[in-house]
Formats: sequence, structure tokens, C-alpha cells
Amino acid sequence: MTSILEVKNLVKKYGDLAAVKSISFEIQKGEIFSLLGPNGAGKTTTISMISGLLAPTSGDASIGGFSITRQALEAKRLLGVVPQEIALYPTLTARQNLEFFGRMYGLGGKELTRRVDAMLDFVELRDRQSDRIETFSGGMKRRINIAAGLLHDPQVIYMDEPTVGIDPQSRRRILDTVKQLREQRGMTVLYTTHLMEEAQELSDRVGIIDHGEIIALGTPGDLILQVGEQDRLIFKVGQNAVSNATLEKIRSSVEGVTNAIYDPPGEEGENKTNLSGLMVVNAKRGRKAMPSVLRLADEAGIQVESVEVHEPDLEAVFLHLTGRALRD
Amino acid sequence: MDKLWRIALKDIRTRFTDRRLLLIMFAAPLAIATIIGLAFGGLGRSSSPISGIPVAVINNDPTGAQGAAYGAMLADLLTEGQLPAGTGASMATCPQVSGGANDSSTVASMTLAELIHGSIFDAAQAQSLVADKQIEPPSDNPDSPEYVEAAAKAATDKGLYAAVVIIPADFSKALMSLADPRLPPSKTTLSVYGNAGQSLAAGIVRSVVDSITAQLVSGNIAIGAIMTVMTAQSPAALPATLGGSQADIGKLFVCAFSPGSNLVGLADMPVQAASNNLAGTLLVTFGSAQALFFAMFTAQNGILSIYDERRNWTLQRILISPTPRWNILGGKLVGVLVSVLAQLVILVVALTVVGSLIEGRIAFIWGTDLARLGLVLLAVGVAVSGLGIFLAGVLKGIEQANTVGSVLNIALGVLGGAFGFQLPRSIAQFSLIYWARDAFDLLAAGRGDISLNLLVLFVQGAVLFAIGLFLFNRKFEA
Repeated sequence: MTSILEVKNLVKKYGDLAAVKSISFEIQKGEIFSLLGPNGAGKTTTISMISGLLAPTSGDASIGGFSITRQALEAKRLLGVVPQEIALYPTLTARQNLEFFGRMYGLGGKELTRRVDAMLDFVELRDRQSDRIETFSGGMKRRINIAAGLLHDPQVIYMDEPTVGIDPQSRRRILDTVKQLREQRGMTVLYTTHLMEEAQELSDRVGIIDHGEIIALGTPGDLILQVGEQDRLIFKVGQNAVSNATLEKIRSSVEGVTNAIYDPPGEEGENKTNLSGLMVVNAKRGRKAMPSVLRLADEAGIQVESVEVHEPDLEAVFLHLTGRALRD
Repeated sequence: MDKLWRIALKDIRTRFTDRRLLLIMFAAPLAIATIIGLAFGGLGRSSSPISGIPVAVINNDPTGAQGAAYGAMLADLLTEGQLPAGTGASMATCPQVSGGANDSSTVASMTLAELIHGSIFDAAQAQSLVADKQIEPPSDNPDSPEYVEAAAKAATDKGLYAAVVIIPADFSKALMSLADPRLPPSKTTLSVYGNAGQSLAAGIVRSVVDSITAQLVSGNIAIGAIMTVMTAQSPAALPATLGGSQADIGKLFVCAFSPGSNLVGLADMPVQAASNNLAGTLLVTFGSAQALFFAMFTAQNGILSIYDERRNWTLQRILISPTPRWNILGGKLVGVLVSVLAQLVILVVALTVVGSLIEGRIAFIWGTDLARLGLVLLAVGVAVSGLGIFLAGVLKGIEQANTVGSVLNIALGVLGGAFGFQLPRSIAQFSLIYWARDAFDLLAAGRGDISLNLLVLFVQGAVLFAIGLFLFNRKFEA
């Protein structure tokens, strides 16, 4: 396979603050590559530089061999973007939106009409082409949002959390669409999400980014192997605070436990939806460790509301690598 | 370039499909101007809230040529609201007199006496004002006509009068030259000096004086025509008429120019008064000011929509595409300019329709000089767009721009007279609304030079445009 996107030592600094510190990776043609990381990790900055929204402080990237700094217009022609936001004009119809963005990519005449028709068919919204976007449901808007990014038949499509805020049925349809893009059109997909199961389901390879650096890169299977066969026990503790002393006691005295952290309750927000505090424990043979952890919690006066046992996944990988939950 | 036009077209399309924006762009100014036009101008009203406009009248033509005192007649009309005593009775014998209008001139369903409160301004009045320290003493010789005129203008500037009407010394002579085919044609200039702070009232006075002057001219043309016929039929009669029977010629004159007389129509008069109707005058004055006021919001919203686009990510979507940045900015600017021009043109047409409905006939309330009207609209479009871009360049973020922009627009509206009251010209001229409104008023009246207005609007627009573009582009690139 040949690489379609190459990122070399990309750096972005704002004064003394380095938002991105010398990131490098490659994406092969026809690959689905997910970039994972918490808010502020540098995902958006990295993608903004690749797509030409931000100029890198140093380093470079190329799409299909065209440098984003020296051959920006050529590189942009090969890249399609599906932003997390519904980047459409609400008072224009679906067709008018697609035609406008198509023209921004140099399409016109019959070719534009053909592409717009094809995209409306692809997202199954041909019958709503003359309706204003403001009359669409959230899921329908997302589908037109995707269509606008695919209009010019790009070689690489970047999708930024395309399933945020939509119902499960629409989410399923979008995930299937992503797979179709690769399988039917041979398109390369760069995907960002904070939903581990999505990344795990879709991705050929995953890059985990934190504090402006790539801290892990590989297939989901390879990355999960890094944490060994550890289960993740999630104890819901309500508003009870878990002291460091309790966490340390769990780590040191319960057999098989490799890590224990406390995730306090947070405000409802984009990626922070735990209104109840969580105690997350990584342990080999988690089910065996669970009674001991519950006993220690009880001794510390912590009332456990519920317990979930998770098999090893990318969330566990991030926790293992950073000592923090990915959503923090 | 194609992308630039596509961006402009998209902006125009999104603007003209946004019902909320359409309300602001068209419904609001049209409604406000129409309400003012109806309330003050009329549709069947028997009286108008605008009345008793204080006017100073300087009559430098007290006796007139060959005994005809037309200056005095005009002064009487402005100060008493009617013709000199005794002349009204003669109307009964006037030919082709239509019913209703007798010896009281009427304007928009109210008498001239109700509309205008005129008073003779002479040397004694001038010295009285100087003595009371209401005005600074003029630098001219106190015994000269120039001293009286300067004092009257100073009093007008002070707001003691809405306008001063100056009847020239050769007023009667000029009018008589129209009546007597043997005399060489003579021209004269009648001056109306208005207080810019009361430009509406001054505009009404100017319209009234225009109307009366037109009637005087038409009357004398009629007399001249009659005399030509009389001379042809009985050559001996002419000297007798002119020399021996002043009462007869006076009567003939009164019949000719009195309102209600149909001897000569106003449409053929050399002194044109295109917007004699009060409702039309008000629609032009307030309609143009309102249109400009709301056009400023359109321009600002248009250029500031780039912030909305950034928030909604449509801007980033365009930036990610292979579209040069100058295309994006250029498209925005063209979109704003075209939107503002379309808004102004539509409002001008709509107000013309409203004016015609009020008057009950097709009324070109903006005057008939369409070429210059188009030029004024273009100048206004450039000035308003320039201001919008300047604000977008200077102010930080959409919240600040919206707040400061609104306050500035309202301030310019107040200065420019968009809200029914006017400030002194020395202050008002800082608002582009003043210059545009004044140009529209001049065009509507069918007179006046609008070169200065155009120059101010174009230069202001171009300078603000250049500064704003520089600043905004720098911000845009950041």
C-alpha cells in the first residue's frame, strides 16, 4: 500500500505554548485511521493544519504528494472534510447547499448536477432536495453535511465526530456510510471520535494523541495488547469522594490490580457526562478482584451504586498510557 | 473570479431568504416612513400636526416695477396666508375658477396661514435681535440689505425661524417681463435659507414658495398671452391698460395666479416644484433617512456574517476548499454592496408606490432625474458598505461589533434626522444620512446641486472601505 497522507514533524506554537509538538504519522491509501485523544490534546490543531486552516509553525504534511504549505490548493482538492458542526446554510435548500460547496471545489455545469444528484442518492435524501436545511432533522442534516464533504470525490475524507448528537439509528447509518466509502469507493478516511467503540469498530489503525504528541500508534488489536489482559472495573460512587489513601490501599492490597483512579462527578458537557463519581480499577481477572475492592470501599464509607466490568479496549489503553480517562 | 461571484450570490440569496432579515431590511423602514407620511401628510386629513412653521420674510421689492407689488403679495401670502385685502372679492369674476379654493391658499388640506407663521423681517427686527443678544451682530453695514439678510440667517441658524425667504429687489420686474410682451425677459432669484436642524420645515417652506412662485409666473404668462391677444385685436388698448388701470391688471393677475385658477397649469412652469405634496415631501425625507438607517444595519450584518459563518463552520468549509482567500473576502464585499443597493432601490420604489397611493395619482416623489437618483443610490451604497466594513475591521468579535455598530447606527440616525427631529447642520453633517437625505430632498424638489453630497458620500465610503478592508483582511488572515 502507498501512503496518501504523510505528516512530518508538524509543530504548532502559540507564543511559548506548543499545541502540537512534532507529530508524525502516515495514512495508507484506502485505510480508515482514527485519531483519539481528550479535548485539548491537539487533535483539532493537527487536523486544522492538515486541512489548511492553520499554518504550521514548522514541519509539513502532504496529501497525495502535494505539500499543504507549498501546494495548498492542489492538496485541498484531494481532501474532503466533514466537520462536527452542521456546516450548512440553514435558509438554503439541500441542493443549493451542495451546489454552492461543489462550486467551491471548481465543479460546474452537468458535472456538478451529476455529483449533487449522486450525493443526494448516496445519503438517501433526493426527495428532500428542495427543502430548506432548517426544516431537516438532526440526522438528515448530518447526512447532507457528509454529502457536502464528499461532493468533489476526494481521495481523503476527514470526518470529525460525525455521530455526535444523533439518534442510534442515524449513527448506525453513518458508520455504515464510512465503511461504504472505503469498501465501494476506495476512499481513505481520517476519523476523530471520543467514542472508543466507534474507533474500534471502524479503524484499521488508531493514533492516540495527548498533550500535543502521538503516544500510541497501531491497530486496535496491537494497542490493546499493550495493556495486557486487564479488565476495567467501573464503580459508580455517586457524590462520594474517593481519597488517594483508599485508591492506594486498593492498588497495594488487592491481588491483580494494576491501577485505580477516581473520576469525580462533572458538569454535563460535550465529553464529560458523568454526573456521578466513578472509581476506575484496572485488574487482571477483574471479577475475582471485585469483592475485595467493594470491601475496601465499604470500609472507607463509600457507597457503591453499581459496578461494570469491561473487557480490554482502547479506553483502557489510554488509561494505561496516561493514567487518565480519555473523556477527562 | 467565478468563486467570488458565487460567494456574493450565495450571500445575497441567504440574506433575501431570511425572513427575519427581510423584516429589518424592508418592512421596518417602509412601515415607519409610511406611518410618518400618513400621520403628517395625510390621506384625507383636514389638519396636520406640522403647523405654524416660523418663517422670516425679507421683502426687498416693496413697490415693484410699474406699480405692481408682487413682492408684497408674496410676503402677504407668507405672513397672512392670503392675498392682500380686497383682492379676494374679485375672484368671483375670474374665468374658469374651480370651486372650493378661494382667496386662501391651501397646502395638503390645510390653509397656508395654518401651515406657515410668517413675519416680516426688517432692519428694526434685526437690530432688536442684536440688542437682545439673541444673535451676534452681523459684520455688514447696519443700514444695508445685506445686514438684514445676515441677521435673518443668523436668527434662522439659531432656530428662531425654520427658514428665511428673501424676495429680491427685481422680483416684480422679472415677473412683469413675463406679462408684457414688449419688455425684455428678466431673470431673478428668490432665496429660501433653511435651518438644517429643521430641514423638514424648511423643505415645506421651500415647496410652498416654489408653488406660489410658479403660480405667479403662470399668472404673468397668462396675462402676457391675454395682452398679446388684446394688442392684436386693439393695439390702442394696451397702453391704456398698463398705464391707466392698475386695478384691472391687478385683478387680471389675481385671477391668473390664485389657487383654483386653471388658466395655466403648473406642469409647464419654469419653476418646478416636483414634490409639492406634503406627504410626498415627508416620505422622501423620512423614507430616505429610514432606508439609510436600516441599510447601515444590512451592510454591517452582511460583513459581520463572516463571524457567523466562522461559528457555524461554513467559513472553514470554504477555507478548506481550494478557494483563494481574496475570493472569499471579495465575494462578501460584493454581496454586501449589491444587497444594500437592492434594498435601497426596492425601498425607493415601494415608497413611490406609497406616495402615489397617498396622493391618489402616480407621484414621482423622488423627482424625475433618474440618472442622478441612481448616482445618489450608488454613492449611498458605497458609503454604507464602507462604514460596515470599517466597523468589522475596527471592532473585535461579533458581540462587540453588534453592540457598538448598533449604537453608532442609532447615533448616525439621530444626527442625520432619521427619527423625525433634526439637529443643527453643523452637527448633522457628520452623519452620512444627512448628506444622503439632503441629496434626495434636492432631487425631489427638482433643484439644487448634489455634487457635494455625492463627493462626500463617495469619498467617505471609499476611505472607510479602504481602512476597513486593510484591518479586516489582517484580522481574517490571523
